[in-house]
Amino acid sequence: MGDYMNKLATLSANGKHLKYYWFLLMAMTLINAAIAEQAEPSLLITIMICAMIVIKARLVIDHFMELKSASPYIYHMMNTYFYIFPLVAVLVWLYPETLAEWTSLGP
Amino acid sequence: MNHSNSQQPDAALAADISSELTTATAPPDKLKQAFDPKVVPGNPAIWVGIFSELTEFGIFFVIYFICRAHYPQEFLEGPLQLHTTAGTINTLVLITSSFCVVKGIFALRDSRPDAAIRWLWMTVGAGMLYLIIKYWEYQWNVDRGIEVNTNNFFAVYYYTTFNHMLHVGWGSGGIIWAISQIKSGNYDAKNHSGLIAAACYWHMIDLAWLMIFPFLYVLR
Repeated sequence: MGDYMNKLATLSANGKHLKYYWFLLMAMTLINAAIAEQAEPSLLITIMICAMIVIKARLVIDHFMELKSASPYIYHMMNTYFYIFPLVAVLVWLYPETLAEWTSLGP
Repeated sequence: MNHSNSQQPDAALAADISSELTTATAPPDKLKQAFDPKVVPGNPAIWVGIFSELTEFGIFFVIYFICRAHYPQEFLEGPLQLHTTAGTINTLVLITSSFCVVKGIFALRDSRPDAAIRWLWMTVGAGMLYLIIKYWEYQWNVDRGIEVNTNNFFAVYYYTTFNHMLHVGWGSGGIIWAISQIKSGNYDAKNHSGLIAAACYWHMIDLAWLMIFPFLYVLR
Protein backbone atom coordinates (compact mmCIF):
# COMPACT_ATOMS: atom_id res chain seq x y z
CA MET A 1 0.00 0.00 0.00
CA GLY A 2 2.90 2.31 0.76
CA ASP A 3 4.28 1.76 -2.73
CA TYR A 4 0.88 2.57 -4.17
CA MET A 5 0.78 5.84 -2.26
CA ASN A 6 4.30 6.70 -3.39
CA LYS A 7 3.47 5.86 -6.99
CA LEU A 8 0.37 8.04 -6.92
CA ALA A 9 2.25 10.84 -5.20
CA THR A 10 4.95 10.68 -7.86
CA LEU A 11 2.74 10.33 -10.91
CA SER A 12 -0.12 12.63 -9.90
CA ALA A 13 0.03 16.34 -10.40
CA ASN A 14 -0.80 18.69 -7.55
CA GLY A 15 -4.53 18.32 -8.20
CA LYS A 16 -5.05 21.70 -9.83
CA HIS A 17 -6.24 20.00 -13.03
CA LEU A 18 -9.24 18.60 -11.13
CA LYS A 19 -11.15 21.86 -11.27
CA TYR A 20 -11.48 21.55 -15.04
CA TYR A 21 -13.14 18.15 -14.70
CA TRP A 22 -15.37 19.55 -11.95
CA PHE A 23 -16.38 22.43 -14.24
CA LEU A 24 -17.12 20.01 -17.11
CA LEU A 25 -19.29 17.84 -14.86
CA MET A 26 -21.21 20.89 -13.62
CA ALA A 27 -21.76 22.12 -17.21
CA MET A 28 -23.09 18.72 -18.36
CA THR A 29 -25.47 18.62 -15.39
CA LEU A 30 -26.89 22.02 -16.36
CA ILE A 31 -27.34 20.81 -19.95
CA ASN A 32 -29.22 17.79 -18.55
CA ALA A 33 -31.46 20.12 -16.55
CA ALA A 34 -32.16 22.27 -19.62
CA ILE A 35 -33.13 19.14 -21.55
CA ALA A 36 -35.43 18.05 -18.73
CA GLU A 37 -37.20 21.41 -18.75
CA GLN A 38 -37.47 22.07 -22.47
CA ALA A 39 -36.82 19.13 -24.80
CA GLU A 40 -39.55 16.82 -26.01
CA PRO A 41 -38.82 13.09 -25.70
CA SER A 42 -37.01 11.64 -28.70
CA LEU A 43 -34.44 8.98 -29.52
CA LEU A 44 -31.76 11.63 -30.09
CA ILE A 45 -32.41 13.24 -26.69
CA THR A 46 -32.37 9.81 -25.00
CA ILE A 47 -29.03 8.95 -26.63
CA MET A 48 -27.62 12.35 -25.64
CA ILE A 49 -28.67 11.93 -22.02
CA CYS A 50 -27.28 8.40 -21.84
CA ALA A 51 -24.02 9.46 -23.51
CA MET A 52 -23.64 12.18 -20.89
CA ILE A 53 -24.11 9.60 -18.12
CA VAL A 54 -21.21 7.60 -19.60
CA ILE A 55 -18.97 10.66 -20.01
CA LYS A 56 -19.70 11.93 -16.49
CA ALA A 57 -19.11 8.50 -14.97
CA ARG A 58 -15.80 8.15 -16.83
CA LEU A 59 -14.66 11.57 -15.61
CA VAL A 60 -15.40 10.62 -11.99
CA ILE A 61 -13.91 7.11 -12.29
CA ASP A 62 -10.75 8.21 -14.13
CA HIS A 63 -9.96 11.50 -12.44
CA PHE A 64 -11.72 11.68 -9.07
CA MET A 65 -11.48 8.01 -8.06
CA GLU A 66 -8.08 7.61 -9.82
CA LEU A 67 -9.01 4.06 -10.79
CA LYS A 68 -6.80 4.28 -13.88
CA SER A 69 -3.90 3.70 -11.50
CA ALA A 70 -5.62 0.78 -9.79
CA SER A 71 -6.44 -2.83 -10.52
CA PRO A 72 -7.77 -3.26 -14.08
CA TYR A 73 -10.45 -5.61 -12.75
CA ILE A 74 -11.91 -2.87 -10.57
CA TYR A 75 -11.44 -0.23 -13.27
CA HIS A 76 -13.13 -2.23 -16.03
CA MET A 77 -15.94 -3.50 -13.80
CA MET A 78 -16.77 0.05 -12.77
CA ASN A 79 -16.65 1.28 -16.36
CA THR A 80 -18.76 -1.63 -17.64
CA TYR A 81 -21.48 -0.89 -15.09
CA PHE A 82 -21.77 2.69 -16.34
CA TYR A 83 -21.84 1.61 -19.99
CA ILE A 84 -24.41 -1.15 -19.59
CA PHE A 85 -27.20 0.70 -17.78
CA PRO A 86 -27.26 3.74 -20.13
CA LEU A 87 -27.22 1.32 -23.08
CA VAL A 88 -30.14 -0.62 -21.60
CA ALA A 89 -31.97 2.70 -21.10
CA VAL A 90 -31.68 3.40 -24.84
CA LEU A 91 -32.84 -0.14 -25.68
CA VAL A 92 -35.83 0.17 -23.33
CA TRP A 93 -36.72 3.49 -24.96
CA LEU A 94 -36.57 1.80 -28.39
CA TYR A 95 -38.26 -1.51 -27.53
CA PRO A 96 -40.50 -1.02 -24.46
CA GLU A 97 -43.10 -3.52 -25.70
CA THR A 98 -40.48 -6.28 -25.97
CA LEU A 99 -39.34 -5.76 -22.38
CA ALA A 100 -42.94 -5.57 -21.19
CA GLU A 101 -43.65 -8.84 -22.98
CA TRP A 102 -40.57 -10.54 -21.48
CA THR A 103 -41.49 -9.43 -17.97
CA SER A 104 -45.22 -10.15 -18.05
CA LEU A 105 -46.34 -12.91 -15.70
CA GLY A 106 -49.66 -13.65 -17.41
CA PRO A 107 -50.24 -15.35 -20.80
CA MET B 1 6.44 0.50 8.50
CA ASN B 2 8.64 -2.48 7.78
CA HIS B 3 12.22 -1.25 8.11
CA SER B 4 13.64 -4.27 6.30
CA ASN B 5 11.89 -3.06 3.15
CA SER B 6 13.45 0.39 3.42
CA GLN B 7 16.92 -1.20 3.26
CA GLN B 8 16.43 -2.45 -0.29
CA PRO B 9 19.22 -1.35 -2.62
CA ASP B 10 18.88 2.00 -4.30
CA ALA B 11 19.25 0.14 -7.60
CA ALA B 12 15.78 -1.35 -7.09
CA LEU B 13 14.29 2.10 -6.56
CA ALA B 14 16.14 3.41 -9.61
CA ALA B 15 14.80 0.51 -11.67
CA ASP B 16 11.29 1.26 -10.47
CA ILE B 17 11.57 4.95 -11.41
CA SER B 18 13.10 3.97 -14.74
CA SER B 19 10.18 1.63 -15.32
CA GLU B 20 7.73 4.46 -14.58
CA LEU B 21 9.49 6.75 -17.03
CA THR B 22 9.46 4.03 -19.66
CA THR B 23 5.75 3.38 -19.30
CA ALA B 24 4.99 7.13 -19.29
CA THR B 25 6.47 7.50 -22.77
CA ALA B 26 5.41 4.11 -24.09
CA PRO B 27 2.58 3.61 -26.59
CA PRO B 28 -0.90 2.88 -25.17
CA ASP B 29 -0.52 -0.92 -25.35
CA LYS B 30 2.49 -0.67 -23.06
CA LEU B 31 0.59 1.65 -20.76
CA LYS B 32 -2.01 -1.07 -20.32
CA GLN B 33 0.73 -3.26 -18.88
CA ALA B 34 1.33 -0.65 -16.20
CA PHE B 35 -1.89 -1.79 -14.53
CA ASP B 36 -1.08 -3.57 -11.33
CA PRO B 37 -3.79 -6.15 -10.55
CA LYS B 38 -2.71 -6.16 -6.91
CA VAL B 39 -3.42 -2.49 -6.33
CA VAL B 40 -6.78 -2.11 -4.65
CA PRO B 41 -7.56 1.50 -3.68
CA GLY B 42 -8.40 1.71 0.01
CA ASN B 43 -8.83 -1.94 0.93
CA PRO B 44 -10.51 -5.04 -0.58
CA ALA B 45 -13.39 -4.91 1.90
CA ILE B 46 -14.56 -1.50 0.72
CA TRP B 47 -14.71 -2.82 -2.86
CA VAL B 48 -16.87 -5.73 -1.76
CA GLY B 49 -19.12 -3.09 -0.21
CA ILE B 50 -19.02 -0.79 -3.26
CA PHE B 51 -19.91 -3.56 -5.72
CA SER B 52 -22.63 -4.81 -3.36
CA GLU B 53 -24.11 -1.32 -3.24
CA LEU B 54 -23.88 -0.98 -7.02
CA THR B 55 -25.68 -4.32 -7.35
CA GLU B 56 -28.42 -2.98 -5.09
CA PHE B 57 -28.73 0.18 -7.19
CA GLY B 58 -28.61 -2.02 -10.29
CA ILE B 59 -31.69 -3.90 -9.05
CA PHE B 60 -33.45 -0.55 -8.60
CA PHE B 61 -32.51 0.37 -12.19
CA VAL B 62 -33.83 -2.95 -13.51
CA ILE B 63 -37.12 -2.32 -11.64
CA TYR B 64 -37.15 1.17 -13.18
CA PHE B 65 -36.74 -0.28 -16.70
CA ILE B 66 -39.44 -2.91 -16.19
CA CYS B 67 -41.92 -0.43 -14.70
CA ARG B 68 -41.14 2.03 -17.48
CA ALA B 69 -41.93 -0.63 -20.08
CA HIS B 70 -45.21 -1.58 -18.39
CA TYR B 71 -46.45 1.93 -17.50
CA PRO B 72 -45.11 4.22 -20.26
CA GLN B 73 -47.67 6.99 -19.67
CA GLU B 74 -46.79 7.29 -15.98
CA PHE B 75 -43.07 7.49 -16.82
CA LEU B 76 -43.77 10.06 -19.55
CA GLU B 77 -45.67 12.39 -17.20
CA GLY B 78 -43.87 11.63 -13.93
CA PRO B 79 -40.61 13.54 -14.49
CA LEU B 80 -42.56 16.68 -15.39
CA GLN B 81 -44.16 16.67 -11.93
CA LEU B 82 -40.84 16.46 -10.08
CA HIS B 83 -38.90 19.50 -8.88
CA THR B 84 -36.16 19.42 -11.54
CA THR B 85 -34.30 22.36 -9.99
CA ALA B 86 -33.99 20.52 -6.65
CA GLY B 87 -32.65 17.44 -8.47
CA THR B 88 -30.23 19.58 -10.48
CA ILE B 89 -28.93 21.43 -7.42
CA ASN B 90 -28.44 18.11 -5.63
CA THR B 91 -26.46 16.80 -8.62
CA LEU B 92 -24.24 19.89 -8.55
CA VAL B 93 -23.83 19.51 -4.78
CA LEU B 94 -22.78 15.84 -5.06
CA ILE B 95 -20.34 16.52 -7.91
CA THR B 96 -18.82 19.30 -5.81
CA SER B 97 -18.60 16.97 -2.83
CA SER B 98 -16.66 14.43 -4.93
CA PHE B 99 -14.34 17.23 -6.05
CA CYS B 100 -13.80 18.22 -2.39
CA VAL B 101 -12.95 14.63 -1.40
CA VAL B 102 -10.26 14.25 -4.03
CA LYS B 103 -8.86 17.70 -3.24
CA GLY B 104 -8.65 16.60 0.39
CA ILE B 105 -6.67 13.52 -0.64
CA PHE B 106 -4.30 15.62 -2.74
CA ALA B 107 -3.81 18.03 0.19
CA LEU B 108 -2.97 15.17 2.55
CA ARG B 109 -0.53 13.65 0.04
CA ASP B 110 1.08 17.09 -0.07
CA SER B 111 1.50 16.95 3.74
CA ARG B 112 -1.12 19.63 4.35
CA PRO B 113 -3.44 17.90 6.84
CA ASP B 114 -5.23 21.12 7.87
CA ALA B 115 -6.16 21.81 4.24
CA ALA B 116 -7.22 18.18 3.83
CA ILE B 117 -9.50 18.46 6.85
CA ARG B 118 -11.05 21.65 5.45
CA TRP B 119 -11.77 19.97 2.10
CA LEU B 120 -13.27 16.95 3.83
CA TRP B 121 -15.49 19.09 6.05
CA MET B 122 -16.71 20.78 2.85
CA THR B 123 -17.59 17.28 1.58
CA VAL B 124 -19.58 16.59 4.72
CA GLY B 125 -21.23 20.02 4.40
CA ALA B 126 -22.22 19.17 0.82
CA GLY B 127 -23.65 15.86 2.03
CA MET B 128 -25.74 17.68 4.65
CA LEU B 129 -26.91 20.20 2.06
CA TYR B 130 -27.96 17.31 -0.18
CA LEU B 131 -30.01 15.80 2.66
CA ILE B 132 -31.69 19.15 3.44
CA ILE B 133 -32.61 19.71 -0.22
CA LYS B 134 -33.91 16.14 -0.52
CA TYR B 135 -36.04 16.56 2.62
CA TRP B 136 -37.39 19.84 1.25
CA GLU B 137 -38.12 18.17 -2.12
CA TYR B 138 -40.07 15.35 -0.43
CA GLN B 139 -42.10 17.94 1.49
CA TRP B 140 -42.75 19.84 -1.76
CA ASN B 141 -43.97 16.60 -3.35
CA VAL B 142 -46.25 15.72 -0.44
CA ASP B 143 -47.77 19.23 -0.49
CA ARG B 144 -48.80 18.50 -4.09
CA GLY B 145 -50.23 15.09 -3.27
CA ILE B 146 -47.26 13.15 -4.67
CA GLU B 147 -46.62 10.16 -2.42
CA VAL B 148 -45.22 6.61 -2.66
CA ASN B 149 -48.54 5.11 -3.70
CA THR B 150 -49.51 7.86 -6.17
CA ASN B 151 -48.46 5.68 -9.11
CA ASN B 152 -45.69 3.30 -10.22
CA PHE B 153 -43.34 6.09 -11.33
CA PHE B 154 -43.44 7.76 -7.94
CA ALA B 155 -43.07 4.41 -6.15
CA VAL B 156 -39.83 3.83 -8.08
CA TYR B 157 -38.80 7.46 -7.51
CA TYR B 158 -39.31 7.33 -3.73
CA TYR B 159 -37.71 3.92 -3.17
CA THR B 160 -34.67 4.72 -5.32
CA THR B 161 -34.03 8.26 -4.05
CA PHE B 162 -34.72 7.40 -0.40
CA ASN B 163 -32.31 4.48 -0.61
CA HIS B 164 -29.71 6.78 -2.15
CA MET B 165 -30.35 9.42 0.53
CA LEU B 166 -29.52 6.86 3.25
CA HIS B 167 -26.20 6.18 1.53
CA VAL B 168 -25.35 9.90 1.56
CA GLY B 169 -26.05 9.87 5.32
CA TRP B 170 -23.71 7.04 6.25
CA GLY B 171 -21.18 8.01 3.57
CA SER B 172 -20.87 11.34 5.40
CA GLY B 173 -20.21 9.36 8.58
CA GLY B 174 -17.30 7.61 6.81
CA ILE B 175 -15.79 10.95 5.78
CA ILE B 176 -16.15 12.29 9.36
CA TRP B 177 -14.34 9.19 10.61
CA ALA B 178 -11.51 9.85 8.12
CA ILE B 179 -11.29 13.45 9.38
CA SER B 180 -10.94 12.16 12.94
CA GLN B 181 -8.08 9.89 11.83
CA ILE B 182 -6.24 12.81 10.20
CA LYS B 183 -6.77 14.95 13.30
CA SER B 184 -5.42 12.23 15.58
CA GLY B 185 -2.35 11.82 13.35
CA ASN B 186 -3.17 8.27 12.26
CA TYR B 187 -3.33 9.34 8.61
CA ASP B 188 -0.52 11.24 6.96
CA ALA B 189 0.90 11.81 3.48
CA LYS B 190 2.11 8.21 3.13
CA ASN B 191 -0.48 6.29 5.08
CA HIS B 192 -4.15 7.08 4.52
CA SER B 193 -5.70 3.99 2.94
CA GLY B 194 -8.79 4.37 5.15
CA LEU B 195 -9.40 7.83 3.68
CA ILE B 196 -9.04 6.40 0.16
CA ALA B 197 -11.61 3.72 1.07
CA ALA B 198 -14.08 6.30 2.43
CA ALA B 199 -13.48 8.50 -0.63
CA CYS B 200 -14.11 5.62 -3.07
CA TYR B 201 -17.36 4.84 -1.28
CA TRP B 202 -18.34 8.51 -1.49
CA HIS B 203 -17.58 8.64 -5.22
CA MET B 204 -19.75 5.53 -5.68
CA ILE B 205 -22.65 7.41 -4.06
CA ASP B 206 -22.02 10.31 -6.45
CA LEU B 207 -21.85 7.95 -9.44
CA ALA B 208 -25.14 6.28 -8.50
CA TRP B 209 -26.81 9.70 -8.39
CA LEU B 210 -25.32 10.61 -11.79
CA MET B 211 -27.49 7.79 -13.16
CA ILE B 212 -30.54 8.26 -10.90
CA PHE B 213 -30.93 11.95 -11.77
CA PRO B 214 -31.22 11.56 -15.57
CA PHE B 215 -33.31 8.38 -15.32
CA LEU B 216 -35.92 9.85 -12.97
CA TYR B 217 -35.84 13.59 -13.64
CA VAL B 218 -34.80 13.91 -17.29
CA LEU B 219 -35.58 10.81 -19.42
CA ARG B 220 -39.14 10.59 -20.72
